[in-house]
Amino acid sequence: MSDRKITYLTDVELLTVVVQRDQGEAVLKAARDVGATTGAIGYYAKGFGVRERLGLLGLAVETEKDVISMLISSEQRDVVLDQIYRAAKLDTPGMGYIYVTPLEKVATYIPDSLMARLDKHEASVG
Amino acid sequence: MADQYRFGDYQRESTATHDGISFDDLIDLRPKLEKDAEGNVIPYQAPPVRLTADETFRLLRPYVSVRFMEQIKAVVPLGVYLALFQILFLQQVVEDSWVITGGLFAVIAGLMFFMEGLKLGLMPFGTIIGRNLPRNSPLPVVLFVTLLLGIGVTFAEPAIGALQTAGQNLSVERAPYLYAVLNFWSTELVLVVGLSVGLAAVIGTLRFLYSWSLKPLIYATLAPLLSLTVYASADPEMQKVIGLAWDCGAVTTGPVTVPLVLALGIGIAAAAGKGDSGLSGFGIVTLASLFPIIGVFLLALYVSSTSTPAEIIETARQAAAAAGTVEPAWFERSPGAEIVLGVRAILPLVLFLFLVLKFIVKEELENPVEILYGIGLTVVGMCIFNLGLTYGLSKLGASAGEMVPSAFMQIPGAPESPIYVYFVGLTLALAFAWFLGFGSTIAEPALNALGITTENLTNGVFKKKTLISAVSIGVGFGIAIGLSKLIFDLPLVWLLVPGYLLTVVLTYFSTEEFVNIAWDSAGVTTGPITVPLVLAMGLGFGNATDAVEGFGILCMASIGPILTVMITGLWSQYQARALASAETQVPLATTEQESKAIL
Repeated sequence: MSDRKITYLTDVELLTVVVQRDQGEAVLKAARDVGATTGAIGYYAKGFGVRERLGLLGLAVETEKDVISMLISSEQRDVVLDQIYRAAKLDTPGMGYIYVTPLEKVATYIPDSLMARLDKHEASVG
Repeated sequence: MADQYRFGDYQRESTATHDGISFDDLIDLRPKLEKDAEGNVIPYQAPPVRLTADETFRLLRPYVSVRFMEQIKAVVPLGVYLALFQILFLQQVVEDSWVITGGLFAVIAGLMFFMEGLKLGLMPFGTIIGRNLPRNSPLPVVLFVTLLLGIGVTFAEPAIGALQTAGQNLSVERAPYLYAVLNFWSTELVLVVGLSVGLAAVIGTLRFLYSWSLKPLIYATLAPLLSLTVYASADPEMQKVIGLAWDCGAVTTGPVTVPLVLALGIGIAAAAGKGDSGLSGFGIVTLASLFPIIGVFLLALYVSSTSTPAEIIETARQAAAAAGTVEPAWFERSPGAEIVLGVRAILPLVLFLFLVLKFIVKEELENPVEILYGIGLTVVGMCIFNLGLTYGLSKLGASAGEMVPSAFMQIPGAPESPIYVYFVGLTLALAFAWFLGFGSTIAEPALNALGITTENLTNGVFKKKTLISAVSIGVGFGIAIGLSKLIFDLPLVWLLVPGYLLTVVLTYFSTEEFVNIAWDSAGVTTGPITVPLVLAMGLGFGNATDAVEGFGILCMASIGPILTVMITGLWSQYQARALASAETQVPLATTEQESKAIL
């Protein structure tokens, strides 16, 4: 990489899932099952959303959260979102939520062999 | 219809139905802000959320099932193992299997409530007190609170109830002092154990503060301990208390003691600016397993000095006669007794923590409703667990213990005993004990946590898996040896004294890290399920083989892992050194070859 050229990746979206502590593994597995854990990171967080308003029932909702975010291509977006939504049981009250943000561009290391294949592909398509 | 569609759109439409709602349209989520006369926004009060019955159920289901499964995983494999062993190898139907199943269910449910209540109700006290007390109060006050806390947590420890249950099945004629300590002095016994745990916590905390090494503390504790044991073994009556005394050490370090005492200890160390040494937190568990042994010995000595065996036997006979005529009150009978026991175990601790918080720390609790709910859960859980202890764990352990000897010797309960040739049956019984210890330890969550700490402490030299298997193998051999003590009627003193002398030698040669890890791993292994089960099994086994008392298995299960972990530690050190010296030699050789090649 002596020419210091940066190749950007476009059409990338950032998918973020907020779930109760210890559910992060299930999210990662679901994402892995549909081939999407590129750039996955997880962090711990504390949630303050609906717990206080639920009264005693709020005790069933952990304040400690796992937050998992990962890069996905815009083509993958809906497949991955569906899969994670189901695997993390986000249709259950108090379970958590998922969102997708479009990213303008992403840059990282792209192997030379991959780059060559991409160039070839680009040339053949148009 | 367009000529072409994006594949992504196609996929989205074909996999699931999607609807979009604008977040703006969720009216009730959008607060209507009002302003007061000066134009400031009046703080918005969110209305409470009301859930339908279905939503409530779906909210609670994952909450309950996760916690329930946690306990199922701990209890069911052990129960199934014991039952299957009896059915397959001993061809015995487990008696009262429905009662036992119900009892085990109570253990699962009780532990589930108890652990959740502990997390919500008691741990916040521990955290707040641990954080604030050392900063606001002089050291002597802090240490005094630590001492009292040790007593409180010991009473609240679920496994302590197993001791009381164990005492009821003893024969007073054959072991009068043991009977007296467990029956007439049972409250004092727990008090003495608690006091010892408190002392251990105090010394462990001082150790954090002044960065003492654990090694001299271990030597200093073992010296009186082993002399007391030898002294007791010289007296034919005192001899029978040795097993109980050593087993008490294993009973103390459970799910209440360890986190609460550690929270305070670490808080004190942190307030003194010594919280970051990787080893803080270690050592208290070790001392809390050793000190109670001394305490129980001293209590037994006191009992023996105040009353003669004949007096005890007479008192017990009178009590038994009285029990026959007078119907015991509801709180002395099961299930009332278990409930009273449960309430009595938790409330003093809560009251103590509350008073410390109110009058010494002078802090308010953040979320009183939640804490009240947690305390309620703890009490309910403790009561249910105590019921399960009586009808499930103790019964199952006792029946397993009574039946296992039928594999190799003739016992009254089993008509076809001995089922196997002596040697085969004996091997089978020892293998049964080994796998019981190994299996129940390898799944212990506390051990997993210790494994992770160990891996961090040793920079990955000592793997988590290595520690877990070393400890499990140690416990396996410990329980097998403890069982053979009962079979061959070996005097415990001949197992304990040489065993602990060996640990002293190993301690001398090991590094500080491994000494801490090894000694603490012994306390970590004996949780609220293993302790009652193994205690009851030992007593049942003792009854069947006509041994005087069935204690002593648990303490062998404590020494086992200490030895295996230190040996593994020394071995891995040796290997690391060998590897290091090999690495320094190899490059030398290659440079030599290179220089030769150049020449």
